[in-house]
Amino acid sequence: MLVSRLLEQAAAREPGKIALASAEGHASFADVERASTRLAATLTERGLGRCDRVLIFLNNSIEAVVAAFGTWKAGGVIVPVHPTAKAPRLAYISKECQPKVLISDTHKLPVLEADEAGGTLPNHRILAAAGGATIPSDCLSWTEAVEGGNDRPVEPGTIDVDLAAIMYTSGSTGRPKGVMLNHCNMTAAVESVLAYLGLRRSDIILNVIPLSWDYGLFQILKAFRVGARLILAESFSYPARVLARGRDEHATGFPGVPTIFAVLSRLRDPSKHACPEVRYVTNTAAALPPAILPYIRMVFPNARIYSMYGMTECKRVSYLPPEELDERPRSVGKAIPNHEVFIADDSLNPVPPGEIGELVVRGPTVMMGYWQKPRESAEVLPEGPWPGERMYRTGDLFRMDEEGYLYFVARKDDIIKCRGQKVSPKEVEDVLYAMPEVAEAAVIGVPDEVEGQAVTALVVPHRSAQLTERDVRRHCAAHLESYMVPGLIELRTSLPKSPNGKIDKKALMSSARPKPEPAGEAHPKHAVVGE
Amino acid sequence: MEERIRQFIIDTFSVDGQDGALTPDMPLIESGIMDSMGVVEVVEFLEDEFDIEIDDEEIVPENMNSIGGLAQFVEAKQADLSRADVE
Repeated sequence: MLVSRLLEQAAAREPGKIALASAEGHASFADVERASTRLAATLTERGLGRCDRVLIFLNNSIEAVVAAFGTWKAGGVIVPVHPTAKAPRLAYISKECQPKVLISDTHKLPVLEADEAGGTLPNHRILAAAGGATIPSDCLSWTEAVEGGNDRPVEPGTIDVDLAAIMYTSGSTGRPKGVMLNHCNMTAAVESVLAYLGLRRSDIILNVIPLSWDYGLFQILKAFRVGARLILAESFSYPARVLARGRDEHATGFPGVPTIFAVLSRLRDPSKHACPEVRYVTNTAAALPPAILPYIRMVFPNARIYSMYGMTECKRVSYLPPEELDERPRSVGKAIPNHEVFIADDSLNPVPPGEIGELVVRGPTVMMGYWQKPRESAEVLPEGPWPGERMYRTGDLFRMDEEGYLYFVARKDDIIKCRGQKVSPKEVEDVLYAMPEVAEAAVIGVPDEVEGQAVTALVVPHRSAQLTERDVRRHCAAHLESYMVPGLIELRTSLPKSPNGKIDKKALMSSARPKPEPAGEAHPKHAVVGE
Repeated sequence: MEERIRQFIIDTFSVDGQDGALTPDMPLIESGIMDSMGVVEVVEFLEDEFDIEIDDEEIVPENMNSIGGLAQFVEAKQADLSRADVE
């Protein structure tokens, strides 16, 4: 089924129901259907052909949703870009995927007109006028693109296996890669997720996740599939306000990531902002540190919490049934419906329970490959048991327990080799998070002549927490085997993040100070707060 | 005071304060300088640096989203405090 059908069917069932609520207003299913049909007509008129790419560079907004569906109805491929992207990244993506059209807003003009972007962006530009700004003469205004479009649906002849989206990953190593998803991948993902999440027509999702990320994009697709409503919030920068909005709009669902939940933990009085109507909360992107759970429960006292794991390359891999969370807080559960996973050795043979290996995924959400990167694609898409089937090697190390529950160990690339032993950064991070004074922690391996790599911990303490390096070291020594205890501990006021809110370890690696020469313990190590 | 705030933003978020791009009205979040954790850090800085207490409800764009806004907010808080002392 084509992704655009999700909207058509929702609009046919309940045209008048409010589908989207943003700060700027509401839109019904019929409104979104009509606007996207007209946009599709305009795009087609301007020369958008089947499988041509459309760069969507917008904040979370009704326009962004209409832009996506308008593109799909015209047979195009969406390439959503994070709204805070700067010119170099925009230029890189544009040069790579050669979009025919760019849809953005006037707020972004400084980036669009920056030198680095020059000559790489498509000529056809549709801009939404933010705050009554003027649209440059060489661009088409959003209003004109939508109002001026024909109501008669275009027939591009797209089929399920045609490309629907290129989602650029932030690339933990090297340059961003464009994950290619066809309509089959996307609709299969919607079905699998809905099968375990139990989303209903009456649900109202409070969404702060950027739509440029598959996690955010799929909130729309899931909502449309069942006819639920989506509240579009920009970000979680103002938690009290976002949560108040959630209460006003009677939100029943809240998708989050660990950094969002960490923000909750820093509220002066989390329970004061509780949203008792929220009945489910989801987490993905990085494992939920068990220490964060009490804060989630304070703000969402009646919610079932789903700890999940996935990659853009295959949407989602696993979920933990909420009732298992207390018993196995560190697990990310089992494979989502219609998918199969196994833990593999280097020859792709399954390893027995308890052994660590690479997680491999089979199922309909496995991507087609990376845009124009056949070698990198081949590396992660080995042939499956059936001819023509491709599996996905996640590049993540996992172990499975006797009952089949999955536990993330480390990114294959992140494993630290210290004194000949393998150290999982996550294991050390979990120990750090167990200290109540710690708000955020990241562990990386820094090249070291003697040890190979030195285990380095970067820690952000809670407001007004009294914490020294010595406290951290003592705690680690009490809970970790000696070779895992960080040799270098730095206290920081903040840690760099990628646009999706994940701690940016690549940035940390490049800014890490080399391990100091071992001086005697003659002078005590002070808390180093800086950076 | 605005300068202390400006310097904090430059230091914490690795912003180029050079070419005058970081104006008092620049929207800190829309421009990508600050993310959700960024706001938390700024709040903690303001409380420590200027000896004020900020309620969760005061963490809103009007107060937080530009250096100018932050400066005005702190001034108002300090004015409240000195009024309270007098009473």
